[in-house]
Amino acid sequence: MTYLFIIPLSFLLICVLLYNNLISKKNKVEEAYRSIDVMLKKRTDLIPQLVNTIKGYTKHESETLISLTKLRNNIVDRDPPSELRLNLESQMDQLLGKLQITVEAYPDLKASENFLLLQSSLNEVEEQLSASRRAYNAAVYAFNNTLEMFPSNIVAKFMGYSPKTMFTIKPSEADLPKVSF
Amino acid sequence: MMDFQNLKKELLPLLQEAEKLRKTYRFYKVIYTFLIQLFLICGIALVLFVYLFNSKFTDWIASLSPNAPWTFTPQMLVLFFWFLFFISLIIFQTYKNKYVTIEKRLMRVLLDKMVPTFEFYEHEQIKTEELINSGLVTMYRRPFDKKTHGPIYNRGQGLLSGKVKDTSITIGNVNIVDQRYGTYLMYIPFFAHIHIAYTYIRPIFKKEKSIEQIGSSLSGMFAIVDFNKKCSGTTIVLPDQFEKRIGYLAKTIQSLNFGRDQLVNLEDSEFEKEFVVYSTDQVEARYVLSTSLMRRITLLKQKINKPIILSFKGDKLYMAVHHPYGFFSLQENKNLVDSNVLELFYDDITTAIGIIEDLNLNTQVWR
Repeated sequence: MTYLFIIPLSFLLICVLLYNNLISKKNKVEEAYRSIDVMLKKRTDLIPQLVNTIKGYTKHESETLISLTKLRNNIVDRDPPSELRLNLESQMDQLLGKLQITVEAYPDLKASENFLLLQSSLNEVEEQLSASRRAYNAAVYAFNNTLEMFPSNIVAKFMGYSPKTMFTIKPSEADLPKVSF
Repeated sequence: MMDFQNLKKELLPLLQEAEKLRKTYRFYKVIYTFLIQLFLICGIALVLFVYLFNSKFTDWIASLSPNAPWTFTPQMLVLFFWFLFFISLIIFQTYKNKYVTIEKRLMRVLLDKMVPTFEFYEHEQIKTEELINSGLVTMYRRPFDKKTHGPIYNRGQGLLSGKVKDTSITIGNVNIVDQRYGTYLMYIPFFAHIHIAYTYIRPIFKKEKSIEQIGSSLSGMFAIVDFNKKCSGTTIVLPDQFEKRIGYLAKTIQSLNFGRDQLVNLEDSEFEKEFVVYSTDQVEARYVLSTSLMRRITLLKQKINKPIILSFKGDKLYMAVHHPYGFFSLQENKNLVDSNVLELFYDDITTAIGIIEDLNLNTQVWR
């Protein structure tokens, strides 16, 4: 008689544990995604200062600076949906990378204390952004593993969960910048 | 840094003087250790004997003549043993002090020639606050008061401090008394007995552990180095005991370590095989442990070939490397003149200061 209670109870307990584990992993992925958002916001906040500092020293980079400002305004003012937002941020990555290289042609700018401070802040944010992306990938990896492993895959199917995509670098971003001497 | 061969030539007279003292000190140490072992074995044997041959033992005691106190009696034997023990203890301690004095003198001269810009403080220790701050030392927490930690007892002495370019480094010898088990566990029947036997008696019979290190949870080098990033939380890197043996199941066991912060799974598989990382913040752990730093730490581990533990807190990197004979001391079971004992010490110091170069801590990109 006791077994009639013990067996379904333990089954229920296992289901609850698996369900909670999945929920916790899904929330971790979301938390990691938010931390990327925070870092992206930090970087976006630095753009006006960076543009103002560079503007005074450079003559031929106005196009890049205008694109950077437009991109920043698009992100801040329009508050785009997450997928578009990531696309815009990726464009910003490319523009900032381009700017870092062109700055080499302006020794006065490179020596400016204000610019150096901004550059170090930007580097710091970039480093933190990369850490956030790695943390997101780790959370997605753990979530996807749980989704595919037995017996949590059965519970995940009932909950309608599907694997999440990791951050990957677009082939154009992975290319090394061309340096000419 | 001065070449090792020239250094040894310069130090030869001092080494010969130290070697004479070392031999005498070792001789008395062997006697002293033998008497301790004898005491332990006799104690256990007596209990077993009384238990197994109770009647014979009582008969034997009764047969001894009480009227002749100077003939053989068990009491006389114990008295004689204690007399021998205390005499050997006094001689052993006297020679030990003499040997330690000349060893420190030797070290002072050696370090002065090896790293002249560094300062060596032979009687100073790594501060207790620094040890607690590092989070590397296992401490017991007082029952019902989880915020207060028990005190840390560090028996290690010697401090070397200086700068490599702009990065400052302090290296100390630590020998921290084991306090891993809190008062809760001591209520488990026989736990205290097993714990004491494992911690204090086992090392007496062990070859690669010096008698001075008995009962210590961490014995060896402890370094405090300027780190080129600032952390608001703590990230701890510990040697991985499970990954190589049980593969991916190790992560499940490691995540159950409730005494630590969150388990961090990193992408570098080689690093993951050697180390396990716990941190207060997943993102910060990855910010600190960049892919290049992970690679460098793995290479450093292969170079040192000893268990290493690291922690990142504030703008400091704390690192500890296990040395069974202590750090600022020469392996006393080896001949000072003929063996490679001095070379090993030279290598240990070079490796310790080399941490800065090995982990690329001199590159301060963000400042």
